[in-house]
Amino acid sequence: MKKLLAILISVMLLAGSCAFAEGATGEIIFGLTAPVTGSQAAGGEQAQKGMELAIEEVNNAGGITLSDGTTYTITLLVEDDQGDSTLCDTTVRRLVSNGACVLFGPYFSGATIALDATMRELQVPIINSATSVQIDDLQNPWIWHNRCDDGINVLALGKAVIDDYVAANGSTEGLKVGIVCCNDETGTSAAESYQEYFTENGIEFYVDFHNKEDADLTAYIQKAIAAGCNAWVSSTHDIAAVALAKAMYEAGLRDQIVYMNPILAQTQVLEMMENDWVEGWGCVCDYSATNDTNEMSKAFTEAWEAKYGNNPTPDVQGALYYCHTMLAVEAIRNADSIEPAAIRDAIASINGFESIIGTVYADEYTNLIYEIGIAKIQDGVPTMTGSVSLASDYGFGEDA
Amino acid sequence: MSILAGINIPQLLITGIAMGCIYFLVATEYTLIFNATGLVNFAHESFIVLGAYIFAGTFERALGLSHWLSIVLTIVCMMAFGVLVATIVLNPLRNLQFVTYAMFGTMMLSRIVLEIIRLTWGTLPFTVKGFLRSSVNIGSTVLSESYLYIIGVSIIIVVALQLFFKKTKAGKAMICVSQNKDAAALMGINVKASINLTVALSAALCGVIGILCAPLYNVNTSMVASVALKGFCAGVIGGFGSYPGAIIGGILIGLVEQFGILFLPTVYKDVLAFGLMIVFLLIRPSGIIKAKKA
Repeated sequence: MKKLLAILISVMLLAGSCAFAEGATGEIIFGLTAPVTGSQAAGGEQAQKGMELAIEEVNNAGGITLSDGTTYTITLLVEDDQGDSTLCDTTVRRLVSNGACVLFGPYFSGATIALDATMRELQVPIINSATSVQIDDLQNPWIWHNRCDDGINVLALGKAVIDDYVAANGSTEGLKVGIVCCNDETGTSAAESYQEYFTENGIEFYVDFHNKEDADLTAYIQKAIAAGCNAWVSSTHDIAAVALAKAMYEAGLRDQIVYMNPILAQTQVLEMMENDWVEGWGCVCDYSATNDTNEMSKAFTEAWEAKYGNNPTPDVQGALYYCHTMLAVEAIRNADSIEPAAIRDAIASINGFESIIGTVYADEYTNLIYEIGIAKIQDGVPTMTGSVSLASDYGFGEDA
Repeated sequence: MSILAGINIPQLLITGIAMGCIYFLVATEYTLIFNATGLVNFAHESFIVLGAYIFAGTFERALGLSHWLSIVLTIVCMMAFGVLVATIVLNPLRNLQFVTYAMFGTMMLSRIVLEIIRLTWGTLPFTVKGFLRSSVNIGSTVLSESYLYIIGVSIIIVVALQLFFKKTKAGKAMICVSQNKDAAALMGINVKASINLTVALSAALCGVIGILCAPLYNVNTSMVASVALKGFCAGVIGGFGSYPGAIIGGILIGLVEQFGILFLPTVYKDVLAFGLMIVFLLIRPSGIIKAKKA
């Protein structure tokens, strides 16, 4: 009996030493706050699926191994904020108390700004796709937005409007741009940037705002037509974007130059419109499933389709959160730590990390991306027509 | 006036009348229940949403039925739903000691219906592509198919309701029940059955509104939040409990919000309807047409 016990103990010790030799294992928790229910749930679903795809790829490739030999696999925790900024404070606190060392989300700029004090208190880095220029103004070292902000988008779209008009008319003579934006943070900050841009470029413009949930914009568009607008830029949300497209189509504005914020590239929004309403409209677009010129983008689309099929088809949010996850993984590897403060510092040091949506450079104002694709809608599908990089203007990249 | 220069007035008129028709249909569907039970049905928004989901989510998208068959089946389903709600919720609630309890009861019913919708059809907004989304050009005015149908269907419903109330035994019984339930019962009218029929009619009307709103707002759980409130305003402005008042109130709100924003920033569009209601409550609380109800 004693012999048997000794053999068993020896076997256990041997097994234990083998495990030690191979390195310890652990778990890293990524936390996502996103609308899982409610009217914005489609975006939340894309974000979750994008992250799950990235995490599966990382875990299948062996996880993240740090220099002490510990190999970590990633687990995703998701909290439903219903797209409501008042709920985000609770969701991020719950994620952190459950051990998340990096957070992702929330979906909207307003909710991100509302988290300013909370993130300073929690001291955990958060990465999202918010675009308001006011996020830069916060100078919050824990909030990182891995997507071009509205200031950069406006420069790209404002230029696209002028270029299209000049291509059709030879000069900017007679161009009057209708800036038709939502009256929340997303729309007002973009409208302000557009006004600045067109004033600097000597272009006449007209500005009016609409409510986020307004589903009938007939009179709104009639006012803009009466003001003499012949080209359009808009920064708005899904329901109002559909109403805007419908009102413009019904007002006979069918061959106009129109550029919108990235909402137009989202599958959920395009599926609520008739294709004719937005044929030829342009938008800034971080990702398009039809883009087969970008190898990383193409690989992501194939991986998504292999995992999820076409339910749903990948859109901008899916691609963005896939990129956010890969960025966090890169930061953890660079930090060689799973401590939130070390990960934050590693994010702040990222310089030239390649992702689907562009090359990531961190700056002191928590911006990460300085390039953006331009897409035009063809038969209800966003099709990439070009891209604009302003990285060198900010001191990044080869041209800097 | 210079402010109207360059504005397509007929376009705004058509849109205003069409939106006004939606508001008066909403006012009519809850006026039916108010007259029959004495309760304001705060669940009416969820009834409209349910109608839209049954039509678009089940019959159109899941089963792929034709538009007309989907419409008919939706109306039948909504009538059955109305009878169910009348039997297990509204009839018991109207006998409660305080009307406030009954109001809360309908509010809770609304939450339950919306949760059932969320669990059954999911959270993602969707639409029925190609349904009432074409348009006809007359000069510079574009007549949207959905607006033409809204106006046409509204006229048919007004005429049909008038004929029903004046020419049929069931309709006359509903009027009697709305005026005095005890007297109606003494005259041999089955009050409960009459209320069930009224709620069924109201629910069917909610189904029609949901179908008509689907191409305008897309289908989601908050698709008619503002429409439901403006329909309530239409009833108050027109005269609470009055069917002709509902028509006048609805059209008035529809036109005021279309033309009002020519003079005000567009973001005040919703404020116009609610502001108008408060003005009426202060100056003429009985509305434009005082309801002839005992």
